[in-house]
Amino acid sequence: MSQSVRLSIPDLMTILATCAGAAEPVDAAAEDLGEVPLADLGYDSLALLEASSAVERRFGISLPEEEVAEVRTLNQLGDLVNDRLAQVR
Amino acid sequence: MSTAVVTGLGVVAPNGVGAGDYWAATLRGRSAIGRIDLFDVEDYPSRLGGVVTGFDAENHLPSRLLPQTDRMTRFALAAADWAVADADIDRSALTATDLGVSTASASGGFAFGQKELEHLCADGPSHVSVYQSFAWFYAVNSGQISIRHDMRGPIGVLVADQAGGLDAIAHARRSVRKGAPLVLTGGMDSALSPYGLAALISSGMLSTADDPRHAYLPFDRKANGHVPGEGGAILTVEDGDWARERGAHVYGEIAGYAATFDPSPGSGRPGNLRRAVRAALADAGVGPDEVGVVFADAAGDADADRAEAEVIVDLFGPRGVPVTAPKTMTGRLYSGAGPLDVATALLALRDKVIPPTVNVVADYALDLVEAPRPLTASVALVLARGRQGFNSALVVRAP
Amino acid sequence: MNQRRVVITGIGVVAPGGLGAKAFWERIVAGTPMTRLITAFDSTDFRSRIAAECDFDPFQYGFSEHDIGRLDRAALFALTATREAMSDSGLVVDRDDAHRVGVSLGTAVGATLRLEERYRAVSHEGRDWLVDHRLAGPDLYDYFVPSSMAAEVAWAAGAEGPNAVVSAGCTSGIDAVGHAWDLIRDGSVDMMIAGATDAPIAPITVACFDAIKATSNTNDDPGTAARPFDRTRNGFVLGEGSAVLVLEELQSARRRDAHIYAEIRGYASRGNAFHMTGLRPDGQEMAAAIRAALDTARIPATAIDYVNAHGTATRQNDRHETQALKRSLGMHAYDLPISSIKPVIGHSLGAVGAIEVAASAMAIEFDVVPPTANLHHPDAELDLDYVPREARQRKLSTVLTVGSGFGGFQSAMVLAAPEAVAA
Repeated sequence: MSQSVRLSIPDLMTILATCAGAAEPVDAAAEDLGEVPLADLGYDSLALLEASSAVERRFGISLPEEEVAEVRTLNQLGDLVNDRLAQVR
Repeated sequence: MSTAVVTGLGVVAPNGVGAGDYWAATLRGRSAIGRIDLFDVEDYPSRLGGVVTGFDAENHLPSRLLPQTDRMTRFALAAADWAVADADIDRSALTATDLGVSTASASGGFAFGQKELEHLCADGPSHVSVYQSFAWFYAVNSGQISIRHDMRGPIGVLVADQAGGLDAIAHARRSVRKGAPLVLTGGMDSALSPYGLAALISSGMLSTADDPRHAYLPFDRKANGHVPGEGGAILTVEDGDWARERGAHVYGEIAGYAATFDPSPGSGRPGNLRRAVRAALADAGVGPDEVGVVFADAAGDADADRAEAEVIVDLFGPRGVPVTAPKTMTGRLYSGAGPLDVATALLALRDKVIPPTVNVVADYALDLVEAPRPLTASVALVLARGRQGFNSALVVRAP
Repeated sequence: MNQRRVVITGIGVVAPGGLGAKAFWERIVAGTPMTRLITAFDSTDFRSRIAAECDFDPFQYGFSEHDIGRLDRAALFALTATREAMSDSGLVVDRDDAHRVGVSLGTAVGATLRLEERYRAVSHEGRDWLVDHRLAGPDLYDYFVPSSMAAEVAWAAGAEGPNAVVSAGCTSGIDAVGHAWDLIRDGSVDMMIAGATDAPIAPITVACFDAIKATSNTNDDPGTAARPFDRTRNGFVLGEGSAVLVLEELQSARRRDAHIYAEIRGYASRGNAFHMTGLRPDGQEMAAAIRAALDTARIPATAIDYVNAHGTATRQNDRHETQALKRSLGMHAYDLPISSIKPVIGHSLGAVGAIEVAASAMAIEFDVVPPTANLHHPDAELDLDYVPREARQRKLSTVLTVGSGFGGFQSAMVLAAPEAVAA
């Protein structure tokens, strides 16, 4: 049984940057980045959809649309993705 | 009626990125036509192009615009930035609702579209990008420019093959006349991608020559098609009174314009370019003797060249007006060609010099400008024609 | 300045469930949705599997095998609508007047169907980035640059005046008619063949709207999929079609004693400079477009008798449009009927604006407000009169139609009854 994959905040930042470009610089310590609103990082709803679609394809999971639509921070995105990853493993 | 004047130029051309570099290269007669190196063209019958070099999108655009933009939109956004900077606009004196955008595109974000078609066909529908919903479509440049510059006034997008760029400038002039003090306008195209080149080749209009000096020879007995290029120009067009009040530098006035369409190919009737030119001159209130230079459409096709030459000779007399086609250095830029010629004409009026046509030995009774030549008159005529019969003529006048 | 006036003297429509203007009008008044599971291609792998399709047989409309082979479906739609509009208007363009007649054709996605089809061929189903140009066929360039469709329309009509495609995404239809209106008003021409066409029901289009979750996925009950202004709405349903109008300077129409459906009194477009797919919730730019159109028309907001809404059935649009109407029309927004015909004919992207101008002109002609089909569950946030399910007889002198689209485009057009023209 393989160790379940978990996406960290830096992982998510990398995925977002690939899908939607680099984030706006924000005045937050690295450990607080997860709570910064995606909008403040410069990511809109399309960036979120593009990134969640990339995650779905890469890990073979399905993220419920309604839940993706509610995501406002990296932590929320991470929780949603990691919950699903834990379920499939 | 209020006048519409040009106060800012933004140019992305194969032989020069930025109006200054482009103009210097053009006066030197520097051609950028060469083998297309954006992808492997070995298996295509037409391998030459006017490719924009020295344009690094990362240097001009925020990172987040890159995944959602085609090459031609990146050009358009950079050119719009430069036009706005050149016009030295004081935004504090304007509200967003005053500012309009009118652009032309012939083929949209075609390379972006090809990439997403590949994702669709090779990998499946869930692999198609969210940005496919707008990045390839013809309206994208007006939308992206309006967002980037917070312009919430009249907005428009025109497609009329290779004549559409002039039509967009006329659309902008109409918005100015209806009360918008400033409109960003012009045209930009880039289809030098594998599927784009296939589409261009299918038109039968492209030269198959491999020698850049003998590939695009408008008005030459050896004319054998054209070379495709990429790029174009974005201009700021302002209400003349407003520009004067704010003390703007004015390149010149969009003094006249008209467009016509040719009869159907089988009709045997003559084309309507002549009518467009006459109407544009009348609109500008100038006679043929006041025109100091004609920027020709210069199709590089024997029939189209002859038709255009006949109209010029008929209206201006044999060798009656200097004619030039700086696009012999860039290749044809589709919707970008007309606006780039307008920018070039304004620079020519400013510096009182006509830029040359390169490589061509002129046939017909045209006074083709083969080396930079002094320009004394204050009026220039720009012609743009599209496949299937689109004719547009635009007159610019020095301030 | 004595402004030239512009009237509609001919209408041609190709719409789902309504081939021909009369059939189209009856369909939208009856409010029978034409949305169904996609038959154009196998939609199994797609999120949204619904569209409003035209059961259009080009042979029936007299197109030759050659023309059907070379023309994209959107071009066939436009030519069909053009013929009907010209015949309806009794217009035959004389060779000597040809330069006084222009063409303005809207389209959002042009020849998408053929571009995708040819791409599959030249790339071997997406396997090759370096495509095989020899498999492209002779007509690829015509699909590549959509103004080829406007050229076809001009040849069919005998029009030799200004000719262009107006491609402003989902407002293309209103904007194409608005562009034509401008050209007649400023004296460039006396008549315009003006309208729009789109045939977007292709895998690439469906996939990109899947990606942004903008379309309805009510796949188990396609007829109810498009539900604008209903609190259960879940996105738009793709459509296809065309409408073409004969626009004419008033004196010209009178001289030839043409039937006048309506006068176009005002038009404006505005960018929202907000987001390529998003809308500012307060609707201020659509409101600005509406106010500008009313100002040009010199008509007070209180004179509007009916609003033909954009009504796509996205939550975002419902709110945006409702706010825009309140912002521009004030309290009068609460007093007038507002409806969307998209539950019936779907959202045909760039075409639909012209189809809605046609519907607005016919609403004036027949004094009937077509209903918003599928509207059963009022949304507390949407407190205007959206005319659920049943058409209403009502004297209509002045109608407003609006559109909104990707790129931030917001457009509005004001039409008035011919009685007002005579006055």
